[in-house]
Amino acid sequence: MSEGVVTRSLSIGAGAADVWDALVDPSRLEDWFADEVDAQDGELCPGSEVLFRWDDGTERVGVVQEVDAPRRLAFRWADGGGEETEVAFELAEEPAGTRVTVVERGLTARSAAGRALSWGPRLAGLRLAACAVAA
Amino acid sequence: MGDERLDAVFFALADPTRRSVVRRLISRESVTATQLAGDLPITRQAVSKHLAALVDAGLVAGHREGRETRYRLTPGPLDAASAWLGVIEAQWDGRLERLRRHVEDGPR
Repeated sequence: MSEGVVTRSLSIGAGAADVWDALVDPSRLEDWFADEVDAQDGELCPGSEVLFRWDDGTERVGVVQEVDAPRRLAFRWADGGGEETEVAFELAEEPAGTRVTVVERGLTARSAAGRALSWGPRLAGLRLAACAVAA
Repeated sequence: MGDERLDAVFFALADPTRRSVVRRLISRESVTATQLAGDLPITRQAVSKHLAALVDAGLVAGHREGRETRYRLTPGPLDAASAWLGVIEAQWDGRLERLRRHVEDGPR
């Protein structure tokens, strides 16, 4: 099976610390990523489980792989259908703010097309959440 | 309209509360955050967050009137999002047409 990879990137007019906070604080993730985010121990640490729930009934369980503040967050997650993928967020400081790049690996060709569409709006939500704090 | 702007529109429209704000603004000239908080089962603070997402996407614009800000619909980005969906729909129509031919004619 060929591995599907989806990459999206967005420049955000906020410092890396503000973007990072919106990315790893479960209550702030509920502003842009999922309707409900339950992290084991209340925060994202390597090895901890995170449950993402959306109001349409979708659920995904993630296991955090890497937390390197404020540069890289990686987790593996799976839906009920058994497809497990790896998601990595990378933050790079820019003169005008922070560039965020998300890469999701391990997708089937079928789900890659849908995911290519959903990461763009999600990053738009992250930008909004990060800038709300910076403002 | 660039991809990033369209992403902001789809992020804004992905939320049912924000969609209901858009629906309210279609039937009303303008609303204040206080009016929306009275209409919707959410706090005034949540209303402000949702309005910020809609303003960010360019779907709603606010202007101050006395002590309050009134929000109205600025539907340009809705047209752009709808045009984009139209392209996707046309691609699906093309795929379905190929599927129909494949089924009717049998594999070659």
